[in-house]
Amino acid sequence: MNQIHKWVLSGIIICSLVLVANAQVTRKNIDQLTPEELGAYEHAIQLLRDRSAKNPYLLDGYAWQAWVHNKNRVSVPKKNTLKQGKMNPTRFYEKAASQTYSDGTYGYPGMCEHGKDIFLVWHRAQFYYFEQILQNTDPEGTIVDSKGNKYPTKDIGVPYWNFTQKPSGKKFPKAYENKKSVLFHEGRNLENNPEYKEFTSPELLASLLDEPDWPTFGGYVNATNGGYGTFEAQMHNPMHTPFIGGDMTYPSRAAYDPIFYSFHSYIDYVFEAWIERHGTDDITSTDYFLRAEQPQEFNLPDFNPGMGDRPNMGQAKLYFDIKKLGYQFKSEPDDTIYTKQQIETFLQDENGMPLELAKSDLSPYYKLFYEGVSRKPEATVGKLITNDVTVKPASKKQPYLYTYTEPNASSSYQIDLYMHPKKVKAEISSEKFRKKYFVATSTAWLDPEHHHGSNGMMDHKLNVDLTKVMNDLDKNFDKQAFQLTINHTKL
Amino acid sequence: MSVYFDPDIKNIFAPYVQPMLEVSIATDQGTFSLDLSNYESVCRLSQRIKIAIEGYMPGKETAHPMPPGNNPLPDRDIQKYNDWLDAGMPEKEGAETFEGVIV
Ligand code: HEM
Repeated sequence: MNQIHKWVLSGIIICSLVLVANAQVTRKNIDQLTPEELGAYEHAIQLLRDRSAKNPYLLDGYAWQAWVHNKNRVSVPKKNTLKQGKMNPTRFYEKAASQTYSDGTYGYPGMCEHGKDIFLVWHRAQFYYFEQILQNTDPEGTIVDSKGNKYPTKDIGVPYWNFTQKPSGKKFPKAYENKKSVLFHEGRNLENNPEYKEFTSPELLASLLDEPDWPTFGGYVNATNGGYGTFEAQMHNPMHTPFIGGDMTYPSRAAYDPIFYSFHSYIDYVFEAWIERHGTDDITSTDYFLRAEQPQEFNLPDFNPGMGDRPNMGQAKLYFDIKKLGYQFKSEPDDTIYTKQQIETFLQDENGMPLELAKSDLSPYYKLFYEGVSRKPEATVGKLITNDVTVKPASKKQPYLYTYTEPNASSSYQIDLYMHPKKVKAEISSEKFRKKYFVATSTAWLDPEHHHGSNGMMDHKLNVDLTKVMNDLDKNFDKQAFQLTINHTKL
Repeated sequence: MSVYFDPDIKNIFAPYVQPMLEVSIATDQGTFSLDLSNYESVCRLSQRIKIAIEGYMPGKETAHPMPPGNNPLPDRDIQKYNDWLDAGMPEKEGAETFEGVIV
């Protein structure tokens, strides 16, 4: 072959690689996939599992990709001899992650960012790589996986599970309940609490998305204070636990369950919906580097690793334009986010009057969080915390923010908040009290086994922004003595 | 009396070197290891360390107070660390001070 031929040929190869990497794929609702599309997704996941079964330390295998979520360091052998054999995937991946090889080097799969302003963008970056890996497992459908299937994978977009709608299966999308599918995963709360069907409502989602203040919705800056945004604490966390359960209960194992990916694909849909409404100008920490060790061949064209010595996925700001990341969402009518008007109508009583906090028998917040879903505030009394409050207007400049700190936090917990006149006794066990005075719930999602791979327990903080609650109260109870009662329970 | 990285600050951090080597710290300059026994590494992240070790003090709350587990360093060690920062982070007597980037 002469030199010109070589250039032409390598040009074609580079172009076709670029094409695979940059093609616009569509992330669809998992219930709307054609059998071929679902087959292709299952095939790609199976191929990732097959890779890891032979070598769990491959960056483009299932195990490593799951470790990206929360195994900050693993020992990687010079030559792998560990094979999965008949072992179940979770046990095998955990075993592989805990080995120490004397001839090995350290790898740094990743540390998910939770409880801070880069939560949504960190997961988006994780998904960018994951989706590229899936597309490139078997672009043209020429490889037979260990289940005997082959499908072209080049057009895969990670399908999303809209968990604010009734599930197509008993509790999850049907595709995830099919025991023969690689998407099925042992241990989820399928049989426990069968009455728990849907946990978070589209009304709650729409009202959270309406919040224009970035930290309130998306999370607080880390280096000083940090803290969950409303979406993470009020929807994402309780879905992990108690709703889904199994490996999804633990940050360090969550992605062993393939439902993690469809769950977070929807979370990315929500992130995009927030950006569509409010833009990206107010998003904070956009220069932050996102820690994870990913296959370099999928780095974005303007990727730059910065000056540190640990691997990363580049800066947060690379990940705001989904077109550049090669995907778009296709939504079904049920996926359309409710309008402000619809929420206002929803928050009326049977006579069409707006529900009023501490006046109506039903708090508008209770209705928002709990109507039409099986989730309810905790009726048993846990640790009670009370704060005296004088009702007065709050504003963006002077927000009313409640911060709960859990010392030595070792496992997930929930706080339910009630705002009631000081003269009304907090009776958590009374449904009447809960319905009338409930204002918010917030869940911390923590790893009882280890936090970020260390053995140290962290103090943990939950911020709950009650600015709107305070202004609602101010309409009827200006300067009156109220009490904020918090019911803290372990999950 | 002057405070130096070696031995003063190094001794304070000695019990915590191994667990912190597992962690990657994200900043707007890159992602970094923190080797608490290494002069350059501690200087580079010196402001993040200050925030972390002061994180248990009232009014100075931070997302990740260090060392974790409601286990603050004694006040005198935090003071020593701050004195060391104020003195320009000298490594040891006669040695040149850190001139790299603080992230
Ligand atoms: C005096 C001793 C220590 C110092 C000076 C220190 C310093 C730091 C600093 C500066 C950070 C970054 C904080 C941030 O991003 O806001 C950090 C994070 C972290 N440290 Fe330490 N550390 C110490 C001890 C420990 C110990 C003993 C452990 C484990 C047993 C530990 C585990 C961690 C973990 C897991 C993180 C990451 C938190 C996250 O980003 O989610 N540290 N440390």
